[in-house]
Amino acid sequence: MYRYILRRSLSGILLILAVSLATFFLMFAGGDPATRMAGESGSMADVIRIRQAYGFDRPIIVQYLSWLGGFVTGDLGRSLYFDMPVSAILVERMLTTMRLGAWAILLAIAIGVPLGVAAGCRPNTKVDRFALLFAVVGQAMPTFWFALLLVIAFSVTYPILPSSGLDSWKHYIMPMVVLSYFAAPAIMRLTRSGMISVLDTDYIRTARAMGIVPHKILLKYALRNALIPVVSLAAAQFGYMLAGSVVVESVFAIHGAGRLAWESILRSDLPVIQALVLCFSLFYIVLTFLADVVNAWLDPRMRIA
Amino acid sequence: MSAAPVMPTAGAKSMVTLILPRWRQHTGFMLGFCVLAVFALMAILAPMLAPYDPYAQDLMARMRPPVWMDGGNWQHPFGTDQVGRDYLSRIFYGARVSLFVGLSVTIISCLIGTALGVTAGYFGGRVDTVISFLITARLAIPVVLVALAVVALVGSSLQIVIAVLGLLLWDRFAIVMRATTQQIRSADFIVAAKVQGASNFQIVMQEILPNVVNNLLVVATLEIAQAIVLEAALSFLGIGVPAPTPSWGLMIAEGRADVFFDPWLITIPGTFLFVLVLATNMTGDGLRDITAPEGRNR
Amino acid sequence: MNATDMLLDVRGLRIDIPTPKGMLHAVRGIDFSLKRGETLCLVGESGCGKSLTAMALMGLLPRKALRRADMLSFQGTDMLSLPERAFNRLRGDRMAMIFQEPMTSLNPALTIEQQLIDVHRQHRNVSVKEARERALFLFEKIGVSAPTERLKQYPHELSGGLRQRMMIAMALMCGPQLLLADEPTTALDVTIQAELLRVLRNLQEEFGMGLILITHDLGVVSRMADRVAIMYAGEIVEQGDVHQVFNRPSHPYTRGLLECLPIPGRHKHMTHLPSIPGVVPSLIGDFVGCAFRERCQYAEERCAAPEIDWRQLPDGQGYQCIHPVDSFGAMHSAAMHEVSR
Repeated sequence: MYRYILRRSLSGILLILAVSLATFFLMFAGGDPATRMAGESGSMADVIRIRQAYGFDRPIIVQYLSWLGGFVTGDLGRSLYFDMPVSAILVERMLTTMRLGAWAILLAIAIGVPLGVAAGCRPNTKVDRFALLFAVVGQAMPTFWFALLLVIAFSVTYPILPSSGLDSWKHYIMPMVVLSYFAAPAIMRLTRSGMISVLDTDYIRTARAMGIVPHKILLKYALRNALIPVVSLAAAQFGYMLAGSVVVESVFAIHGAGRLAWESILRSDLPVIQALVLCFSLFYIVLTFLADVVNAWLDPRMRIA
Repeated sequence: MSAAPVMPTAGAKSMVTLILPRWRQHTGFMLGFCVLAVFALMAILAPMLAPYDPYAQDLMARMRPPVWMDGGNWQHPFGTDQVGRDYLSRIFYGARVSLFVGLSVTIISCLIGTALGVTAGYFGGRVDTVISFLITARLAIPVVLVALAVVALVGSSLQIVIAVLGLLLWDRFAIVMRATTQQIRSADFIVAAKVQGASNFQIVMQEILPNVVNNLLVVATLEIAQAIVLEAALSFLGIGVPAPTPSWGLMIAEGRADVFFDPWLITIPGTFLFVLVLATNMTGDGLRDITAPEGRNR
Repeated sequence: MNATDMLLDVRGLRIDIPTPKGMLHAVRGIDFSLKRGETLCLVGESGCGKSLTAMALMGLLPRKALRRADMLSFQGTDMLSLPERAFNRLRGDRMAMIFQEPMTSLNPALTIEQQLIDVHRQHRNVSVKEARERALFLFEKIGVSAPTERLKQYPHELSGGLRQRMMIAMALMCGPQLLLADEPTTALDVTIQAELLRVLRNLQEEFGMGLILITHDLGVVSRMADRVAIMYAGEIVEQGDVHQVFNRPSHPYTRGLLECLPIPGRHKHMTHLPSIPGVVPSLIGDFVGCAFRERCQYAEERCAAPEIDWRQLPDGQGYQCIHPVDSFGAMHSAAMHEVSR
């Protein structure tokens, strides 16, 4: 078990390095960053000054290493727009986004898993049809449009929920519903198909032949095995959800990391964008790592791998 | 047992005759496919169908409500937008943008993903390790954010949006193609082709690709839907297709300011977007059910 | 025979499965019974309905399968009218079953201990400790080495043979009166097969269980059975005391099966093992007459008659055939001798 975790974390670190490299080169996607920072009115002298100030004149590999070194020690660079350390801006925004995301993924699991179990236990019944409809609609619903529909319904037509900000629990409802409806369909579908295939296995037949009561077969013998792939999926969905918070936060005017990313992109505030991309990737990698650990606990066969 | 390789063409043909009756029985597929066809016609025939030039502004006729609301008339069935452009015409042309982006992005990402996936699955070993790592790294990168950043940095245009999304969305192709290729790598007809001295390239092109084309089609359909949604999202955030192109995402963004008074500006393009994505997904899911071997769980 | 000696009595059991092509009559009216401590072997080719019969006895048929019977009585309880809940209380307690696939029949996510204890505590009001002791007691009987370590292990850490021993232990946790074993050794190595069969027979004798053993292996039958029932195409075509049936097979199919046995000395050059020509008829739709007639060398017009009567011999042997084959005695007692060695 410990060896598995060790090996898994080593590959995680390798992954972080690869992603950080990609993120670093993002900076050069639009050509020379110094010219961009100087802006259209900047003179050649400005460009050269910026180049020296930010170290763009150094070899690329040196720049990358110093940027990465800074990242490891918590120095994420300096925001061009706010003219303050990125880390000072980032932490609070990131926490806001993660808090919202955590509630949303919990809601998605709370809806997706029971619905998937109900559908998987009785395929081709009314419950199953309803669950599939729920999933198909959810997967086709663009998040920003769904968010706006909710605003139209609950802030305009029946004004019972606030449409912007994140000040009270009421503010959380609509963004939470939007984000969780983004994640729930896939969770529901995987739970359903997992349940169908697990209930068809020989070991469930054994449990039935031993007279284990149906609800115990379902909860202890089947669900545990059916949920193994769902854990990985939920972790990945959580990661995507945070990265996708750009859209939701812009609709609901939430001051989170997603909105910060959007604003920084509009302002060409490269250090902030880089830091955010890397943070989201890092978060995704850590989440999938944790999911693998949970799975190793759920499925003893994985521990040797 | 004879060493003659199974001819992929013959296999594909019998596959079609075998599957054909299943098409009609699958309501989801038929429904999705028909709706998709309607949207495709809408896009192709947009110049003929659209009553107005989608770019023509008429400041005297701004914010006309659609026909089913008070004050609406058949002159502008879906009303007009903030600068008096005919909403119906923009919807028709919007179908063009959505489908064009969906198809182009999918073609690019299909080429990248299939090349990577088949290579990994076919050669295995170290090649597989490297490509699998690449796939995992790609999954860790937040698509929306990176696409936004790159489009913003490079400059937004339809081509840039397509290129960026195409370069980012190859993961599902790679994953599925890798798995499928692994499954058939040791099949008899591949071994037979090897014994007969076919080169790796020949084997991949003549033996493997024809046999994974079903899976490829399923992934491609689902990927078109994803590309359409992402384009709309980027445009909605103002960093996708530039104005005044009639993109549904952009139309929703433009209507946002009036959400409190004229929500139809949002609901009309949103409904079209939703129905198109729904139909595409249903077609893809249906294709998967239909091409799955008999007895596989639907 | 004393009535209380009767453990299981099955009359006219039929199993129908709806398929897209029509109704599949998988089991077509079979009768058999089992006494306490007796071993009955159900023998037949795959698809003859022997596994479905066992599943029907356990009440574990697939949801769409239809079970009908004139009588299905277990220890005097009418199983036909038994509600599912009450049936579930019998399963694992008074009747239990072992399956063919030891590799997939145990839950991969739970330790052996958890699975064994769950079974015991499902049916008996015992503590975890008592259940564990019961498991260890059975391990000793079954011949499991390092029993306490085994309890803590997961199925994937055990060999196929050990897993099947765990299955046996699980089935015996509550000391059932009836044990059904569906090809319990088919998936295992020959040496382990022999060992497991010995264990099974010893346990059966010690606990006085009735055992229904499903197999296609006549060698297993000769070693284990008191009585044997030969199944073909959803029917029992011959049944009786194992020695009688083996020495004096009456149904041509039984005879054919016995001739297919490789016996040293009988076939000098093992290149030509005899086999029964032809294939089993489809059981979809209505079927009349003797199902074996297409493959039977003695077949005649009468064999297509709608009802072929069951003929009962005074010594308990019975068969379903118009023209039984006789007097193979000498040859097959030799065969029997070889097989049982």
